[in-house]
Formats: sequence, structure tokens, C-alpha cells
Amino acid sequence: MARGPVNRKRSRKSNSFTTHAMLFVFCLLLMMVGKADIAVMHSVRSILTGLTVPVADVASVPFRAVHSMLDSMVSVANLRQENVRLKEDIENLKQWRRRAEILQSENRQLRSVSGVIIPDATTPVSARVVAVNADSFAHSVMVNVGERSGIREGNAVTTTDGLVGLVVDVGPKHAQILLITDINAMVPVILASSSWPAITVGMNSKRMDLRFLPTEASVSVGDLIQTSGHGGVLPPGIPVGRIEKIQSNAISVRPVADLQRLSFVTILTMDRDPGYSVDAIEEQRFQPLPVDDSGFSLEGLNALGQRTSSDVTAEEGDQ
Amino acid sequence: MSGIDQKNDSKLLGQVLAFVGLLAFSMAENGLGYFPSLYGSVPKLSFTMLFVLCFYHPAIMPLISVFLVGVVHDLSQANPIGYTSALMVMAHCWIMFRRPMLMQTESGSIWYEFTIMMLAMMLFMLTVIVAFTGNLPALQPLLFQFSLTVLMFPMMNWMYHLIMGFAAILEQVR
Repeated sequence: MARGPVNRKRSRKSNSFTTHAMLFVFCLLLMMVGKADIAVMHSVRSILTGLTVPVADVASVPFRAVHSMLDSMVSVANLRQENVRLKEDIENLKQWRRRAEILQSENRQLRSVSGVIIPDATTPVSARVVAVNADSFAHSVMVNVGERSGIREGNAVTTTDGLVGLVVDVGPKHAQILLITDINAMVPVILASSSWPAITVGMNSKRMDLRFLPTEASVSVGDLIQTSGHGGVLPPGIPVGRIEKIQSNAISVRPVADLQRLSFVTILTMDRDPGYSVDAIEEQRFQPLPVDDSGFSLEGLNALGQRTSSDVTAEEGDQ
Repeated sequence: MSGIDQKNDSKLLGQVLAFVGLLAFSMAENGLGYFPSLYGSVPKLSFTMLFVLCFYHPAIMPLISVFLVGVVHDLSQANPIGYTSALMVMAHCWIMFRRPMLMQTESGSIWYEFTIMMLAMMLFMLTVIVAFTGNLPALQPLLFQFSLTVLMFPMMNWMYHLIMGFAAILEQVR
């Protein structure tokens, strides 16, 4: 009789453990079903996520406000310094713009000769970031535009600096964006200076790894990485990151876009079927350009887009 | 009879409040990601709150509430559904089974227990990430998240006692 209450307590404890274990196993099953990517599960999740977006948006308002206030305070403090720097930048940009205009014109002429189609069938849609998933499991953000604004899965997402990620899930009024730093994100890229292809792989940290770079490719810290367009998901030529660290077994890339301060993003939606095979175009594009100035990639232009000395001399001679 | 009904009503109200509070906390927690230094490794304050609530008021934190908070949290994020729920169910189980022993110890031991529990959570998280992606993620953000969560525990615990003290004073005044 005296052992009755003890036994009851043990039995209750055992029951409680069984309930916990069963629910835990149920959670694991839910994860596996989610991973299996079943269409019904996907649509149910999309609907339920749509319902939680306004709540997440409201919950993040105080943090956005504090963040914005802190940002403004820092901005005011740095205003004078920034003004001087910006003036210098404007001067530099003007020079670059003039150079770019010349190169663009030449590029257009050369393309018209070679018959390459420019993948311009995209329309930018601006979106506000309403929720940030800043957990260590996934790096993603939720934006306030969806199917009704023409957003589709696979659309590239950018800021003025460069690539942010791509749309992985779309609801009627929301879209989930997988950031390029997420462990699931793999972006086919090229080295802007030499056109060597590679793939950036997210590591769930602030940097990405550059993998599958051919051994003969030479890279240096600060080199720009841009999308190659391989696979046809992302348009080519969007800046992705810059080489930050080169080690014997790994190359670290820092994203050009500030992924930690995302407020607004631009989603590049495809207007129509581009009508060309991206891979076919990229095969033409992926002839690695020589890094050496003495090598010619295009007639009259070297790898850096500068006029070659022979042409300059010829022009001077004509004058 | 009316006394029992009143007690049940009060318990139900407590459960609803605890559910809403934990849910709001878990949603707001991600707002910390707007601060660049915390991006990618926001402290898991919802687990701290879960620990404190389950430890001091187990009756208002039933298992089903914990599970539902986890599901809603996963839905609002890109996590696989069931991921946060599994973590929270694990945490709930841990606290419930260790609670009787911890009730007789001092606050330092409770903090130590929380640290061990979070370590187990982090290991589970790491296992799930590796199993789901097939890649080993950067460990630095995980360690940072773990350290920050553990370091913030005493502050959260103190805040809880402060709020409860304030509520007791209000009750006395009323």
C-alpha cells in the first residue's frame, strides 16, 4: 500500500516520457515529409506561411525601428566624412561611365556582328523585406510580394550592389528568398577578370566558399565574382561577391550585397521565354579570357577592356 | 465546486497567456536578425523563456502549446516544419524530468543545467542541418549563438523575477 503513490508517480513519469517521445518522433516525421517535397504539403505550407507573414511583419516592427534609428544616428555622425568620399566616388564614377559608354557601344556593335542574344527579358519588381530568418539553420528572408506581382520560383533577387539570392517559395502575397550565404545555396559564377567558371557555396555564415574553380585559374584577393548564367536560373553578369581570403584548400568570398542590412530588394522576373538556350550562349562566353595584357580577347581590346597599343598607335598615326 | 472551476479558469487563462507570450517572443526573436552583429546567430531567447516558464510554472506550459509554438515558428521561417517543434519538445522533456531535482538547488546549478540543455539542442541542430543539407555548416555562428543564449540566461531569469515581483506587489495593492 505504501508503494502505491510512488508507483503512480513512476507510471505518470513514464507516460509523460512516452508522450514526449511520440511527439518528438512526429516532429521528425514532419521534417521528413517536408523534405520529401510533396506537392500537397508544399501548398499547405505556402498557405499557412502566408497567414504568419503579417504577424512576423508586425513582430519585427520595433526591431526595424530601432535598427533604422541606430543607422540614422551613425549616418549623421559620418555625414561629413561620407560627403567627401561620395564626391570622390562621383568623380570616379563619371570617368567609369564615360569608359562604360564607349565599351557598351563597341560591345553592341560586336554583338550585332556575332549574333549573340542579350538576355534582357527580365522586369524588376521592388519588394520590402518583412521577415528575416537569422537562425543558424537557414539564411532567408520573406518579402511582401508574391505571385500576384508576377514573382515565380527561381527568380533572381538583387540589390543595387549585387545578387542577394533567389526565390524558393511563392505565395499570393509573399515570397521566400534563399540568400546566397545559405548552406543550400549554390550559385554558378565566373571570375569577372578572367571568366573562369566556379560555384559559390553558402556556409550559413557571412562568407561563401568558392568551389570547382579550375586549378589553372589564377585568383587574387579582391577579384569580382559574377553570375555565369549557367543552368538558366540566374541571369549572367550579376555581381555576387569579392574574393576575401585565399587558402590552400578554400577560397572565401564576401557577398557584394550587404545581406545583414536588407530592407528593400529587387526581384528580376522573367517577362517571357527568352527564346534561347542559355547554356549554348554560355558555352560561347566561357572561353576564359587571358589575364595577361598582351593577349587579345577581342580585336582592338585587351582583357581589361582597354584599347591595345597597336590600335592607339594606328589612330594617332591617322590623326 | 465554484472554487475548482475558478482554479481551472485561472489555469486555462495562464496557459493561453503563456502560449501567446512564448509565440510572440519566438516571432520577435527573429527581429534581432535586423542587427548586423546578430545576423545568422540570434540568441535563442524563446528557449530561455520556455525554460523559465516550464521551470517555475509547469502547469501553464503543456506539451501541446510548446509543439504548436514550434510549428508556427517554423512556418514563419524557412525551417523545415517540425524542426523547432522537435527542439522545443526535447527542451520541455528535459526540463520536466530535471525539474524536481533542480528545485532544490541554487541558481548557479540551474544556469549550468540550462547550458547543458542548450549544448544538447545545438548538437541536435547541427545533426539536423548536416542530415538535411549534406554539408557541414560554419561552426562559428552556431557557437556564437550558443554562447550568447547561455550568457543571456541570468538576465532573462532576473527579468522574470522582476516581473513576478512587480505582479505580486500589484496583487497586494489590489
